[in-house]
Amino acid sequence: MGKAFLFGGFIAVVGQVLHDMYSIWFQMNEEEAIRWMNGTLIVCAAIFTPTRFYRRLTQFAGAGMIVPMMSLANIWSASALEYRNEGATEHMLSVGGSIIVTLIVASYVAVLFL
Amino acid sequence: MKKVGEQTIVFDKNIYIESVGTVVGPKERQGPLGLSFDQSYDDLYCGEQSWELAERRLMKEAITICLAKRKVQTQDVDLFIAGDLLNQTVTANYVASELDLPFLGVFSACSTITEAMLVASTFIDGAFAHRVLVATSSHYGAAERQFRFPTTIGVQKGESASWTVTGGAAALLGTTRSPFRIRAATIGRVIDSGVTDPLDMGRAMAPAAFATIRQHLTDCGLSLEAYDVIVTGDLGKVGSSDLKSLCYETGMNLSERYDDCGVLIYDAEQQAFAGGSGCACCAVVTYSYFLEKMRGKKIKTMLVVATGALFNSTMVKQNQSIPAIAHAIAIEAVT
Repeated sequence: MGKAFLFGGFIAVVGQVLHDMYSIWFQMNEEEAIRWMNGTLIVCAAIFTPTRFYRRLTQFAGAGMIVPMMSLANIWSASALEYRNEGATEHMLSVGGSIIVTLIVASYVAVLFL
Repeated sequence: MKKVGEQTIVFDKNIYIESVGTVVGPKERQGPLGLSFDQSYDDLYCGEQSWELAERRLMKEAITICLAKRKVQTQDVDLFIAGDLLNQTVTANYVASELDLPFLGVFSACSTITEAMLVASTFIDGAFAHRVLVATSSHYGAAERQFRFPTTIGVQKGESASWTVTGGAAALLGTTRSPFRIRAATIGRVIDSGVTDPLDMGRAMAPAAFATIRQHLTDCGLSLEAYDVIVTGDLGKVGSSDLKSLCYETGMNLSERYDDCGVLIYDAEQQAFAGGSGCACCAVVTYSYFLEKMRGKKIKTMLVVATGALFNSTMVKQNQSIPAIAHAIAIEAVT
Protein backbone atom coordinates (compact mmCIF):
# COMPACT_ATOMS: atom_id res chain seq x y z
CA MET A 1 0.00 0.00 0.00
CA GLY A 2 2.86 2.34 0.83
CA LYS A 3 4.37 1.72 -2.60
CA ALA A 4 1.04 2.48 -4.28
CA PHE A 5 0.66 5.70 -2.30
CA LEU A 6 4.17 6.91 -3.11
CA PHE A 7 4.06 5.87 -6.75
CA GLY A 8 0.62 7.43 -7.33
CA GLY A 9 1.93 10.61 -5.68
CA PHE A 10 5.03 10.49 -7.89
CA ILE A 11 2.84 10.41 -11.02
CA ALA A 12 0.93 13.40 -9.69
CA VAL A 13 4.25 15.22 -9.20
CA VAL A 14 5.27 14.38 -12.77
CA GLY A 15 1.91 15.76 -13.92
CA GLN A 16 2.46 18.97 -11.97
CA VAL A 17 5.97 19.38 -13.40
CA LEU A 18 4.63 18.88 -16.92
CA HIS A 19 1.83 21.36 -16.24
CA ASP A 20 4.24 24.01 -14.99
CA MET A 21 6.61 23.33 -17.86
CA TYR A 22 3.89 23.85 -20.44
CA SER A 23 2.57 27.00 -18.79
CA ILE A 24 6.01 28.60 -18.30
CA TRP A 25 7.85 27.55 -21.46
CA PHE A 26 4.97 27.57 -23.92
CA GLN A 27 2.95 30.40 -22.31
CA MET A 28 -0.16 28.22 -22.13
CA ASN A 29 -3.14 29.21 -20.04
CA GLU A 30 -4.31 26.95 -17.19
CA GLU A 31 -6.82 24.94 -19.22
CA GLU A 32 -4.44 24.32 -22.12
CA ALA A 33 -1.63 23.29 -19.84
CA ILE A 34 -3.84 20.72 -18.08
CA ARG A 35 -4.99 19.33 -21.42
CA TRP A 36 -1.43 18.98 -22.70
CA MET A 37 -0.24 17.44 -19.44
CA ASN A 38 -3.02 14.84 -19.56
CA GLY A 39 -2.28 14.12 -23.20
CA THR A 40 1.43 13.64 -22.50
CA LEU A 41 0.79 11.17 -19.65
CA ILE A 42 -1.72 9.22 -21.76
CA VAL A 43 0.61 8.98 -24.75
CA CYS A 44 3.44 7.86 -22.43
CA ALA A 45 1.21 5.12 -20.98
CA ALA A 46 0.36 3.92 -24.48
CA ILE A 47 4.04 3.95 -25.48
CA PHE A 48 5.05 1.97 -22.39
CA THR A 49 2.35 -0.65 -23.00
CA PRO A 50 3.69 -2.88 -25.82
CA THR A 51 7.03 -3.60 -24.11
CA ARG A 52 5.15 -4.74 -20.98
CA PHE A 53 6.95 -2.00 -19.06
CA TYR A 54 3.60 -0.63 -17.91
CA ARG A 55 2.59 -4.09 -16.67
CA ARG A 56 5.80 -4.43 -14.71
CA LEU A 57 5.25 -1.01 -13.16
CA THR A 58 1.71 -2.01 -12.16
CA GLN A 59 2.95 -5.25 -10.62
CA PHE A 60 5.29 -3.10 -8.55
CA ALA A 61 3.04 -0.17 -7.68
CA GLY A 62 -0.47 -1.67 -7.76
CA ALA A 63 -3.19 0.93 -7.37
CA GLY A 64 -0.56 3.64 -7.74
CA MET A 65 -0.54 2.75 -11.44
CA ILE A 66 -4.16 1.64 -11.83
CA VAL A 67 -5.93 4.67 -10.32
CA PRO A 68 -4.30 7.44 -12.41
CA MET A 69 -6.08 7.98 -15.74
CA MET A 70 -3.04 6.63 -17.59
CA SER A 71 -4.33 3.14 -16.94
CA LEU A 72 -7.26 3.89 -19.27
CA ALA A 73 -4.80 4.41 -22.12
CA ASN A 74 -3.00 1.24 -21.09
CA ILE A 75 -6.18 -0.85 -21.04
CA TRP A 76 -7.30 0.31 -24.48
CA SER A 77 -3.94 0.10 -26.17
CA ALA A 78 -3.32 -3.32 -24.58
CA SER A 79 -6.66 -4.61 -25.87
CA ALA A 80 -6.04 -3.20 -29.34
CA LEU A 81 -2.59 -4.80 -29.42
CA GLU A 82 -3.77 -8.15 -28.10
CA TYR A 83 -6.62 -8.52 -30.57
CA ARG A 84 -4.93 -7.04 -33.63
CA ASN A 85 -5.20 -10.37 -35.46
CA GLU A 86 -8.93 -10.71 -34.76
CA GLY A 87 -9.88 -7.05 -35.38
CA ALA A 88 -8.52 -4.38 -33.04
CA THR A 89 -11.53 -2.05 -33.33
CA GLU A 90 -14.02 -4.78 -32.46
CA HIS A 91 -12.20 -5.87 -29.33
CA MET A 92 -10.59 -2.64 -28.22
CA LEU A 93 -13.32 -1.93 -25.69
CA SER A 94 -13.84 -5.53 -24.56
CA VAL A 95 -11.94 -4.90 -21.33
CA GLY A 96 -12.22 -1.13 -20.92
CA GLY A 97 -15.75 -0.70 -22.31
CA SER A 98 -17.31 -0.72 -18.87
CA ILE A 99 -15.39 2.46 -18.06
CA ILE A 100 -17.09 4.30 -20.93
CA VAL A 101 -20.52 3.06 -19.86
CA THR A 102 -19.89 4.19 -16.29
CA LEU A 103 -18.66 7.60 -17.48
CA ILE A 104 -21.69 8.20 -19.69
CA VAL A 105 -24.20 7.11 -17.03
CA ALA A 106 -22.41 9.12 -14.32
CA SER A 107 -22.26 12.28 -16.43
CA TYR A 108 -25.95 11.90 -17.34
CA VAL A 109 -26.87 11.65 -13.66
CA ALA A 110 -24.57 14.56 -12.83
CA VAL A 111 -26.21 16.74 -15.49
CA LEU A 112 -29.61 16.21 -13.83
CA PHE A 113 -28.38 17.92 -10.68
CA LEU A 114 -26.40 20.74 -12.25
CA MET B 1 -3.99 -54.95 -18.06
CA LYS B 2 -5.68 -55.15 -14.74
CA LYS B 3 -7.60 -52.85 -12.54
CA VAL B 4 -6.23 -52.68 -9.04
CA GLY B 5 -8.24 -51.23 -6.22
CA GLU B 6 -10.62 -48.45 -7.13
CA GLN B 7 -8.88 -46.20 -9.62
CA THR B 8 -5.58 -47.75 -10.63
CA ILE B 9 -4.49 -49.69 -13.69
CA VAL B 10 -1.36 -51.84 -13.58
CA PHE B 11 -0.11 -52.62 -17.05
CA ASP B 12 0.71 -56.20 -17.97
CA LYS B 13 2.81 -55.40 -20.99
CA ASN B 14 6.08 -53.56 -20.82
CA ILE B 15 5.16 -50.11 -22.05
CA TYR B 16 8.10 -47.82 -22.62
CA ILE B 17 8.62 -44.15 -23.20
CA GLU B 18 10.64 -44.69 -26.35
CA SER B 19 11.46 -41.09 -27.06
CA VAL B 20 10.64 -37.56 -25.91
CA GLY B 21 10.88 -34.07 -27.34
CA THR B 22 10.72 -30.75 -25.49
CA VAL B 23 10.65 -27.19 -26.81
CA VAL B 24 10.37 -24.12 -24.59
CA GLY B 25 10.15 -20.34 -24.74
CA PRO B 26 12.67 -17.72 -23.57
CA LYS B 27 11.76 -17.54 -19.88
CA GLU B 28 11.94 -21.32 -19.42
CA ARG B 29 15.29 -21.36 -21.22
CA GLN B 30 16.66 -18.79 -18.76
CA GLY B 31 15.36 -20.81 -15.82
CA PRO B 32 17.35 -23.31 -13.77
CA LEU B 33 16.41 -26.23 -16.06
CA GLY B 34 17.09 -24.26 -19.25
CA LEU B 35 19.86 -26.51 -20.53
CA SER B 36 17.93 -29.75 -20.21
CA PHE B 37 15.35 -28.89 -22.89
CA ASP B 38 15.87 -30.03 -26.47
CA GLN B 39 15.16 -26.70 -28.09
CA SER B 40 14.17 -23.18 -27.16
CA TYR B 41 13.01 -19.93 -28.73
CA ASP B 42 14.38 -16.51 -27.81
CA ASP B 43 11.15 -14.82 -28.75
CA LEU B 44 7.71 -15.52 -27.30
CA TYR B 45 6.21 -15.33 -30.80
CA CYS B 46 8.53 -18.14 -32.02
CA GLY B 47 8.62 -16.46 -35.44
CA GLU B 48 4.83 -16.59 -35.86
CA GLN B 49 2.11 -13.95 -36.16
CA SER B 50 0.14 -14.73 -33.01
CA TRP B 51 0.45 -16.50 -29.66
CA GLU B 52 -1.80 -19.32 -30.87
CA LEU B 53 0.31 -19.99 -33.95
CA ALA B 54 3.41 -19.88 -31.76
CA GLU B 55 1.94 -22.56 -29.51
CA ARG B 56 1.13 -24.70 -32.53
CA ARG B 57 4.73 -24.41 -33.66
CA LEU B 58 5.95 -25.46 -30.19
CA MET B 59 3.87 -28.64 -30.26
CA LYS B 60 4.86 -29.44 -33.84
CA GLU B 61 8.57 -28.94 -33.12
CA ALA B 62 8.38 -31.14 -30.03
CA ILE B 63 6.81 -33.93 -32.10
CA THR B 64 9.40 -33.57 -34.85
CA ILE B 65 12.25 -33.77 -32.32
CA CYS B 66 10.63 -36.72 -30.53
CA LEU B 67 10.23 -38.76 -33.72
CA ALA B 68 13.63 -37.79 -35.10
CA LYS B 69 15.44 -38.96 -31.94
CA ARG B 70 14.12 -42.47 -32.45
CA LYS B 71 14.25 -42.23 -36.27
CA VAL B 72 10.56 -43.07 -36.47
CA GLN B 73 8.44 -41.97 -39.40
CA THR B 74 4.97 -40.55 -38.82
CA GLN B 75 3.38 -43.50 -40.62
CA ASP B 76 4.93 -45.91 -38.10
CA VAL B 77 2.75 -44.38 -35.38
CA ASP B 78 -0.72 -45.86 -34.86
CA LEU B 79 -2.39 -43.13 -32.87
CA PHE B 80 -1.90 -39.53 -31.86
CA ILE B 81 -3.31 -38.34 -28.53
CA ALA B 82 -2.93 -34.69 -27.65
CA GLY B 83 -4.50 -31.78 -25.84
CA ASP B 84 -3.82 -28.24 -24.73
CA LEU B 85 -5.37 -25.33 -22.86
CA LEU B 86 -6.87 -23.31 -25.69
CA ASN B 87 -10.60 -23.39 -26.38
CA GLN B 88 -11.68 -26.64 -28.04
CA THR B 89 -8.01 -27.78 -27.80
CA VAL B 90 -7.33 -26.07 -31.13
CA THR B 91 -3.57 -26.44 -30.99
CA ALA B 92 -3.82 -30.23 -30.84
CA ASN B 93 -6.51 -30.27 -33.53
CA TYR B 94 -4.45 -28.25 -36.01
CA VAL B 95 -1.29 -30.21 -35.33
CA ALA B 96 -3.26 -33.43 -35.86
CA SER B 97 -4.55 -32.14 -39.18
CA GLU B 98 -0.97 -31.77 -40.36
CA LEU B 99 0.21 -35.12 -38.99
CA ASP B 100 -2.39 -37.20 -40.83
CA LEU B 101 -2.69 -39.77 -38.03
CA PRO B 102 -5.74 -41.20 -36.25
CA PHE B 103 -6.30 -38.64 -33.52
CA LEU B 104 -7.87 -38.51 -30.07
CA GLY B 105 -8.11 -35.09 -28.46
CA VAL B 106 -7.98 -35.03 -24.68
CA PHE B 107 -8.52 -32.23 -22.22
CA SER B 108 -7.71 -32.30 -18.56
CA ALA B 109 -6.30 -28.78 -18.18
CA CYS B 110 -2.73 -28.92 -16.89
CA SER B 111 -2.91 -32.67 -16.23
CA THR B 112 -3.51 -33.35 -19.94
CA ILE B 113 -0.12 -34.99 -20.37
CA THR B 114 -0.73 -37.71 -17.79
CA GLU B 115 -4.23 -38.28 -19.15
CA ALA B 116 -2.82 -38.67 -22.66
CA MET B 117 -0.10 -41.07 -21.44
CA LEU B 118 -2.64 -43.03 -19.42
CA VAL B 119 -4.97 -43.45 -22.41
CA ALA B 120 -2.05 -44.26 -24.70
CA SER B 121 -0.69 -46.91 -22.31
CA THR B 122 -4.12 -48.49 -22.04
CA PHE B 123 -4.36 -48.67 -25.83
CA ILE B 124 -0.94 -50.29 -26.08
CA ASP B 125 -1.59 -52.70 -23.23
CA GLY B 126 -4.79 -53.85 -24.87
CA ALA B 127 -2.96 -54.24 -28.20
CA PHE B 128 -5.23 -51.70 -29.83
CA ALA B 129 -2.16 -49.76 -30.88
CA HIS B 130 1.54 -50.52 -31.00
CA ARG B 131 3.01 -47.08 -30.99
CA VAL B 132 1.24 -44.00 -29.70
CA LEU B 133 2.40 -40.42 -29.92
CA VAL B 134 1.29 -38.10 -27.12
CA ALA B 135 1.77 -34.35 -27.08
CA THR B 136 0.77 -31.24 -25.21
CA SER B 137 1.58 -27.56 -25.21
CA SER B 138 0.84 -24.27 -23.54
CA HIS B 139 1.80 -20.67 -24.21
CA TYR B 140 2.02 -17.78 -21.78
CA GLY B 141 0.46 -15.23 -24.13
CA ALA B 142 -2.31 -17.45 -25.46
CA ALA B 143 -3.32 -18.66 -22.00
CA GLU B 144 -3.04 -15.24 -20.41
CA ARG B 145 -5.42 -13.64 -22.85
CA GLN B 146 -7.86 -16.52 -22.90
CA PHE B 147 -8.10 -17.00 -19.14
CA ARG B 148 -7.13 -13.59 -17.78
CA PHE B 149 -6.27 -10.29 -19.43
CA PRO B 150 -4.47 -9.02 -22.52
CA THR B 151 -0.75 -9.62 -22.00
CA THR B 152 0.27 -5.97 -21.86
CA ILE B 153 -2.48 -4.67 -19.59
CA GLY B 154 -1.46 -3.34 -16.18
CA VAL B 155 -2.65 -5.74 -13.48
CA GLN B 156 -1.16 -6.66 -10.16
CA LYS B 157 -1.01 -10.34 -9.26
CA GLY B 158 -0.53 -11.81 -5.84
CA GLU B 159 2.15 -14.30 -4.86
CA SER B 160 -0.28 -17.22 -5.29
CA ALA B 161 -0.65 -16.56 -9.04
CA SER B 162 1.20 -18.73 -11.51
CA TRP B 163 3.03 -18.13 -14.76
CA THR B 164 1.90 -20.22 -17.73
CA VAL B 165 4.85 -22.17 -19.13
CA THR B 166 5.55 -21.59 -22.81
CA GLY B 167 6.47 -24.92 -24.27
CA GLY B 168 5.59 -28.03 -26.17
CA ALA B 169 6.30 -31.63 -25.25
CA ALA B 170 5.84 -34.91 -27.04
CA ALA B 171 6.53 -38.53 -26.16
CA LEU B 172 6.45 -41.72 -28.14
CA LEU B 173 5.02 -44.64 -26.21
CA GLY B 174 5.45 -48.19 -27.42
CA THR B 175 6.72 -51.65 -26.63
CA THR B 176 10.28 -51.22 -27.93
CA ARG B 177 12.68 -51.36 -25.02
CA SER B 178 13.92 -48.08 -23.59
CA PRO B 179 15.23 -46.99 -20.16
CA PHE B 180 11.79 -45.82 -18.98
CA ARG B 181 8.87 -48.12 -18.33
CA ILE B 182 5.33 -47.09 -17.45
CA ARG B 183 4.18 -49.48 -14.76
CA ALA B 184 0.86 -48.17 -13.53
CA ALA B 185 -1.55 -45.27 -13.76
CA THR B 186 -4.21 -43.85 -11.49
CA ILE B 187 -7.21 -42.03 -12.89
CA GLY B 188 -8.16 -39.09 -10.70
CA ARG B 189 -11.53 -37.98 -9.45
CA VAL B 190 -12.68 -34.40 -9.86
CA ILE B 191 -12.47 -32.62 -6.53
CA ASP B 192 -14.01 -29.23 -5.87
CA SER B 193 -12.55 -27.66 -2.78
CA GLY B 194 -14.53 -24.44 -3.16
CA VAL B 195 -11.71 -22.14 -4.27
CA THR B 196 -13.05 -19.42 -6.58
CA ASP B 197 -9.91 -17.39 -7.25
CA PRO B 198 -8.32 -18.29 -10.62
CA LEU B 199 -5.12 -16.64 -9.39
CA ASP B 200 -4.84 -19.22 -6.62
CA MET B 201 -4.96 -22.46 -8.59
CA GLY B 202 -2.37 -24.23 -6.48
CA ARG B 203 -4.71 -24.15 -3.51
CA ALA B 204 -7.60 -25.44 -5.67
CA MET B 205 -5.53 -28.35 -7.02
CA ALA B 206 -3.67 -29.54 -3.92
CA PRO B 207 -6.61 -31.61 -2.56
CA ALA B 208 -6.95 -33.38 -5.93
CA ALA B 209 -3.25 -34.23 -5.96
CA PHE B 210 -3.47 -35.50 -2.41
CA ALA B 211 -6.51 -37.67 -3.19
CA THR B 212 -4.83 -39.23 -6.22
CA ILE B 213 -1.53 -39.91 -4.44
CA ARG B 214 -3.31 -41.53 -1.52
CA GLN B 215 -5.57 -43.56 -3.79
CA HIS B 216 -2.62 -44.74 -5.84
CA LEU B 217 -0.73 -45.92 -2.79
CA THR B 218 -3.81 -47.62 -1.33
CA ASP B 219 -4.72 -49.31 -4.63
CA CYS B 220 -1.21 -50.63 -5.19
CA GLY B 221 -0.64 -51.45 -1.54
CA LEU B 222 2.48 -49.32 -1.47
CA SER B 223 3.93 -46.82 0.95
CA LEU B 224 5.53 -43.51 -0.02
CA GLU B 225 8.96 -45.14 0.23
CA ALA B 226 8.18 -47.16 -2.90
CA TYR B 227 8.92 -44.05 -4.95
CA ASP B 228 12.21 -42.23 -5.11
CA VAL B 229 10.40 -39.08 -6.05
CA ILE B 230 6.82 -37.91 -6.27
CA VAL B 231 6.41 -35.17 -8.83
CA THR B 232 3.42 -32.88 -9.04
CA GLY B 233 2.65 -30.86 -12.14
CA ASP B 234 2.04 -27.24 -11.33
CA LEU B 235 0.96 -26.76 -7.74
CA GLY B 236 3.46 -23.96 -7.28
CA LYS B 237 4.79 -22.83 -3.93
CA VAL B 238 1.36 -22.35 -2.34
CA GLY B 239 -0.15 -25.61 -3.59
CA SER B 240 2.97 -27.61 -2.73
CA SER B 241 2.95 -26.53 0.88
CA ASP B 242 -0.79 -27.25 1.01
CA LEU B 243 -0.18 -30.75 -0.33
CA LYS B 244 2.65 -31.36 2.12
CA SER B 245 0.49 -30.38 5.06
CA LEU B 246 -2.42 -32.50 3.79
CA CYS B 247 -0.06 -35.48 3.59
CA TYR B 248 1.46 -34.70 6.95
CA GLU B 249 -1.97 -34.74 8.58
CA THR B 250 -2.51 -38.29 7.39
CA GLY B 251 0.89 -39.46 8.53
CA MET B 252 2.71 -39.34 5.18
CA ASN B 253 5.93 -37.37 5.14
CA LEU B 254 6.36 -36.12 1.60
CA SER B 255 9.06 -33.53 2.03
CA GLU B 256 12.13 -35.68 1.33
CA ARG B 257 10.87 -37.26 -1.84
CA TYR B 258 8.79 -34.51 -3.33
CA ASP B 259 9.24 -32.03 -6.18
CA ASP B 260 6.90 -29.75 -8.08
CA CYS B 261 7.57 -29.00 -11.76
CA GLY B 262 6.08 -25.50 -11.41
CA VAL B 263 8.50 -24.65 -8.61
CA LEU B 264 11.50 -26.18 -10.40
CA ILE B 265 11.12 -24.49 -13.77
CA TYR B 266 11.68 -20.86 -12.71
CA ASP B 267 14.19 -19.10 -10.48
CA ALA B 268 13.13 -16.93 -7.58
CA GLU B 269 14.49 -13.91 -9.50
CA GLN B 270 12.34 -14.57 -12.55
CA GLN B 271 9.23 -13.07 -10.96
CA ALA B 272 7.00 -16.03 -11.79
CA PHE B 273 4.98 -15.64 -8.59
CA ALA B 274 4.18 -19.09 -7.13
CA GLY B 275 5.73 -20.90 -10.11
CA GLY B 276 4.94 -22.29 -13.53
CA SER B 277 1.62 -23.73 -14.66
CA GLY B 278 0.01 -24.90 -17.87
CA CYS B 279 -0.10 -28.16 -19.80
CA ALA B 280 3.53 -27.89 -20.82
CA CYS B 281 4.81 -27.35 -17.27
CA CYS B 282 4.62 -30.93 -16.03
CA ALA B 283 5.40 -32.35 -19.47
CA VAL B 284 8.60 -30.47 -20.28
CA VAL B 285 10.05 -30.84 -16.79
CA THR B 286 9.25 -34.55 -16.50
CA TYR B 287 10.47 -35.37 -20.01
CA SER B 288 13.72 -33.51 -19.67
CA TYR B 289 14.84 -33.09 -16.07
CA PHE B 290 13.33 -36.17 -14.42
CA LEU B 291 13.84 -38.67 -17.25
CA GLU B 292 17.44 -37.45 -17.49
CA LYS B 293 17.84 -38.08 -13.75
CA MET B 294 16.39 -41.53 -14.28
CA ARG B 295 18.76 -42.19 -17.15
CA GLY B 296 21.62 -41.15 -14.89
CA LYS B 297 20.35 -43.68 -12.32
CA LYS B 298 19.81 -40.99 -9.69
CA ILE B 299 16.21 -42.11 -9.35
CA LYS B 300 14.70 -45.50 -10.08
CA THR B 301 11.00 -44.97 -9.60
CA MET B 302 8.82 -41.91 -9.77
CA LEU B 303 5.17 -41.05 -9.54
CA VAL B 304 4.17 -38.18 -11.80
CA VAL B 305 0.99 -36.54 -10.56
CA ALA B 306 -0.06 -33.82 -12.98
CA THR B 307 -2.77 -31.56 -11.63
CA GLY B 308 -5.38 -29.63 -13.58
CA ALA B 309 -7.75 -26.81 -12.65
CA LEU B 310 -10.86 -27.50 -14.71
CA PHE B 311 -12.26 -24.00 -15.03
CA ASN B 312 -13.02 -21.54 -17.75
CA SER B 313 -13.30 -17.78 -17.63
CA THR B 314 -17.11 -17.77 -18.02
CA MET B 315 -17.59 -19.94 -14.93
CA VAL B 316 -15.18 -17.77 -12.96
CA LYS B 317 -17.15 -14.65 -13.93
CA GLN B 318 -20.28 -16.40 -12.63
CA ASN B 319 -18.47 -16.95 -9.30
CA GLN B 320 -18.41 -20.71 -9.63
CA SER B 321 -15.72 -22.58 -7.74
CA ILE B 322 -12.82 -24.26 -9.51
CA PRO B 323 -12.93 -28.08 -9.68
CA ALA B 324 -9.58 -29.84 -9.96
CA ILE B 325 -8.25 -33.21 -11.05
CA ALA B 326 -4.99 -35.12 -10.84
CA HIS B 327 -3.92 -38.18 -12.81
CA ALA B 328 -0.87 -40.18 -11.78
CA ILE B 329 1.58 -42.20 -13.85
CA ALA B 330 4.21 -44.44 -12.27
CA ILE B 331 7.43 -44.59 -14.26
CA GLU B 332 10.38 -46.85 -13.42
CA ALA B 333 13.89 -47.16 -14.74
CA VAL B 334 14.74 -50.30 -16.69
CA THR B 335 18.27 -51.53 -16.36
